[in-house]
Amino acid sequence: MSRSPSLSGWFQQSVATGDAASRGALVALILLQVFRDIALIAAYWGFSAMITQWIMEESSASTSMLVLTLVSLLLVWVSQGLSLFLNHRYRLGLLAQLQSRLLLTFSRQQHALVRQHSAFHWQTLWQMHLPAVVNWHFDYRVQQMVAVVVPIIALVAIFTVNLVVGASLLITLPIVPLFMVLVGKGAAAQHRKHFIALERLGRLFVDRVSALPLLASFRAHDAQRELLDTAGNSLRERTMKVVSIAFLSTTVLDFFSTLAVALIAVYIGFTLLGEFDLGESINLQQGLWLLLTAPLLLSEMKKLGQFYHQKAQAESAREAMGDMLKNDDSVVNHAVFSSLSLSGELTTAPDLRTEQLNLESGDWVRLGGESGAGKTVLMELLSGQRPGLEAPVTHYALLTQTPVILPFSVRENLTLGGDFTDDVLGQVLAEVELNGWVASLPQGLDTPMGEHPPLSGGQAQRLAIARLLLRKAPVWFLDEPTAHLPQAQHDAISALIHRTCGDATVIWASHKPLPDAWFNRRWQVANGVVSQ
Amino acid sequence: MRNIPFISLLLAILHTTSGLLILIFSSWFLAACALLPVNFNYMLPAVIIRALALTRIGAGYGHMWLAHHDLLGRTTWLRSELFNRLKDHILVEKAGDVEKLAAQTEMLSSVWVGWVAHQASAAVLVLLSVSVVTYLTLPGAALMWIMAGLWLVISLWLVYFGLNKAASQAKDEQAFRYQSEHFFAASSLWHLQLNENNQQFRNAPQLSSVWQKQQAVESAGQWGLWLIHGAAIAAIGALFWSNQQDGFGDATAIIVPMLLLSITDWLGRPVGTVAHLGKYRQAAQALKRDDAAPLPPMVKGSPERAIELQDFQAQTMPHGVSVKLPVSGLVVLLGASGCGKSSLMKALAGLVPAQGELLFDGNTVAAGRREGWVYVEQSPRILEATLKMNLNPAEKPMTPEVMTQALAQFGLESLTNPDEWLGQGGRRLSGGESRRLSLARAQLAEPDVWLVDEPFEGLDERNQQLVEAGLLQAAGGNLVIVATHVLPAELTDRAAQIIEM
Repeated sequence: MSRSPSLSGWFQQSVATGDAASRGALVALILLQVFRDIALIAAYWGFSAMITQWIMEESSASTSMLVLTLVSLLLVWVSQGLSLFLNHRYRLGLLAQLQSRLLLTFSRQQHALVRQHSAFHWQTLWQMHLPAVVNWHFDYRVQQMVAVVVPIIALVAIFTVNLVVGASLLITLPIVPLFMVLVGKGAAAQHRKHFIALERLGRLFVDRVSALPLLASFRAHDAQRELLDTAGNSLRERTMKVVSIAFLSTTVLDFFSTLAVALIAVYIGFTLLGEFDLGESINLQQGLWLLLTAPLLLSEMKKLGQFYHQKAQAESAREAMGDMLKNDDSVVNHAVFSSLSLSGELTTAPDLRTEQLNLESGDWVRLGGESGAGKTVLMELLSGQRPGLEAPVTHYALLTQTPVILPFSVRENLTLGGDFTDDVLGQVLAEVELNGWVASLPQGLDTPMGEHPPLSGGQAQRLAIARLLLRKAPVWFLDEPTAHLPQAQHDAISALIHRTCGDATVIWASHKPLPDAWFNRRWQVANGVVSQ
Repeated sequence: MRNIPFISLLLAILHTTSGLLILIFSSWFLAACALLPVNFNYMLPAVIIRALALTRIGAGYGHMWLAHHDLLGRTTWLRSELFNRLKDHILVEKAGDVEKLAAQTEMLSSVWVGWVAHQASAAVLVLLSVSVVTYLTLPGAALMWIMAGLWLVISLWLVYFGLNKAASQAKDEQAFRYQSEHFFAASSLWHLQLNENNQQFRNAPQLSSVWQKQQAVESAGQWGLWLIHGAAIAAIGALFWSNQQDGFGDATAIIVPMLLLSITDWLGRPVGTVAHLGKYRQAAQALKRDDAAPLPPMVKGSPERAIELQDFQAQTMPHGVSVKLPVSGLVVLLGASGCGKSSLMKALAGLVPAQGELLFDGNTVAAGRREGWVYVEQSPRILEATLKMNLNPAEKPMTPEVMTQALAQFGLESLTNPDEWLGQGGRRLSGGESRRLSLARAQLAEPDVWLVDEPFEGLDERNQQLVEAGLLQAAGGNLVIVATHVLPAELTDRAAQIIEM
């Protein structure tokens, strides 16, 4: 996967594909917020006029100004409500859409993908990274545009009212992009430093808590607690030194926005008094309006700073997810397997190629090679769990070295929710010689297996084979099914497989000896090359 | 409970208060200047405005600094307390739970900067504004009281709503974690399920309800603020429409309209975050909950001539084991994975509750943890720490020579720098190196009895030989029990005893 240039680039290429995250939604949210601020500027005008009428003209508010103010404020209120409503709706909509895309990716790449990371990794990706992308899209990206457009509009409005204030704000306008950079860089640096410090502290803590049995075994608990305390305190001192400077950049924005209000107030006040005369007359209405409108130049940018952490979170989401959320509307081919002939490059990362590789229906293939050579990768490729083949095998059974026993009943472990009669179940259990074991269970087929199933390794593998036998798959991928079993069990289970899968096409990877007579083909994987 | 960070809170309140004061005071100043009253000392207000600006900036920075200082310190402190409670306990939890504990300590520490500071500021601002407008009997003072009441009602309701939602969200999250754990564990079965269900997952875990609740808390705050904003707009309308004389020609009349107009600026953050109290309470409750199981107690006594097990087993094993063991030499416990070898070893080490009889030299003794009995885990744990700390986690007094010797015993001469950092951000050890390091660590604890779980799992020929050699050397004067499902030929000849399970 090539590294995309920016977060938005990645989002456009890998997430906003198909009908997800339309641009229209983003534009609607931006327009609503800009419109809200324009209405606010109009409301300030009417408001200042009414105040002037009260204080200078000592009369009650005129109807025209009251209507202007209230209508504008209502528009502010309605557009704010509308943008809240849309934001929440879009957000949940996109979340649901991305969740189903994630599930689609899982259903396509299955075990080949999931086995690469821990369950915790996938939980985090699902629970944290998905919402992080959505939040960034609907908060940060919207605010980013608003923070550019609104100051320009406000500045134009200010110019039409008062040249001096407008000009002095314009002088600071080049500082605005500088602020963007400052806030961006500063907040980024601050966030990073703070985040790294917290993460380090957290990792040390997680590491030691996960090692509780080790610490108990070696009576090292107290020594390690002291270490955690010291590490926490010294990390705090070091971090605060760095962060102290990083905080300044946030303060700079606060400094300018606060000072702008203070200085404009003093300037306008003194002009009203006649102390200052820069050639432009000013009245209370204009002065008050300027005081209210000027903060809009910076307030939207300050809000952007509040969303800054979303960018960092979206960055780490991008790293974890890559292309997993891409729209995939390709159709899975359901043809029944008859034969297969492959040559040339099979897959990259890890590289795997072959001169010629043939597989006919009914073949028994012995797949050999060092561990890590790519036997599993080859089987994943043939089964389509790893993308690469045009027409992978579709109806197959896969047996790995670790049998999965679900915490549900024996029956559910076999049927996986499908419809099978007790007779059929009894038959396959007899085939794998587990009928005696099931009969000995307190509730027979309906005995729950729980978190610690009452099975030996060999029995668990037999149950897994029974589950596969039920499906009558024409192709079997056996990935070291006896690796964890002692020799006697290995012999028994292998013989069982040979007996029960006689008619199927079998590809069998094993380090342990198997009778040569069972196989009519031999594949060898070495140095990224599959040979037959 | 740790101290309340008073100064940081005070600065937060000062920061927001001075922010609002600048706006109100400035607008009053403009009105006053426009009126040009006689003897108006305009220099003082100008100075006050600038002083307020500086106060705001300074307090903002100070608050930020102190709050983060407090946050880091508080996190360390909370974790230290928690870690202390976990001494001689085992967490019977799933993957990711420890990470969650770490996140919850962080969350709880941030309650001051993330919640209390905002709400305290809001309370001060509301109190201050209603008292000032009432004291000055300004037009619209009654409206301000109504707004204050509304703020209080909405905030209280949001707190209540947030607490409830967070509790039910936590439940849904727990359910998701449980379901997804099994979902991902069964990934090698997906091809069967998908084939039977048109390539769709039948019962995939979902986060939609968690997200809906999360969103509900977030939007409740925003809608609450929206209501307050709407009420303020109505109040502005009512004030300007109904007031026909009060405060006309008086600059202070500007205060109430200004407070109402800028209400989303000064109540925005507090109302937006008030419903978050629920997640802090969830974090506090999660930390209080005691999911840790205490380890069996330390017991005394060591065998002189013989160890005997009679129907001895861990409580989770289906049946007990009866066997006699010597007090030195290498004993191999052979059996398929999942047959209970590990449980038996842990029961002997006193790491899980045991039942049945344990006899030393013919006398029944209690099962439990014993000085000098060391259990070496199946998946070796390398601490994120220096090599030195990994070898000697209890930080006992120990010479470098002894360490070098222990490393050499397991063929780890390549590790020469005791201060080298291992794990993330440092040297990554291979599976074989990790295994041998964990054995060298055991060697340095000078055990009388070694309980080694699956030391050959996943090792290549060379590593296997190095481990064998080291263990055989250790078995010279001590008892080394090795649980394994593969029996290296070397051990078959040199083992004092081989037990098949």
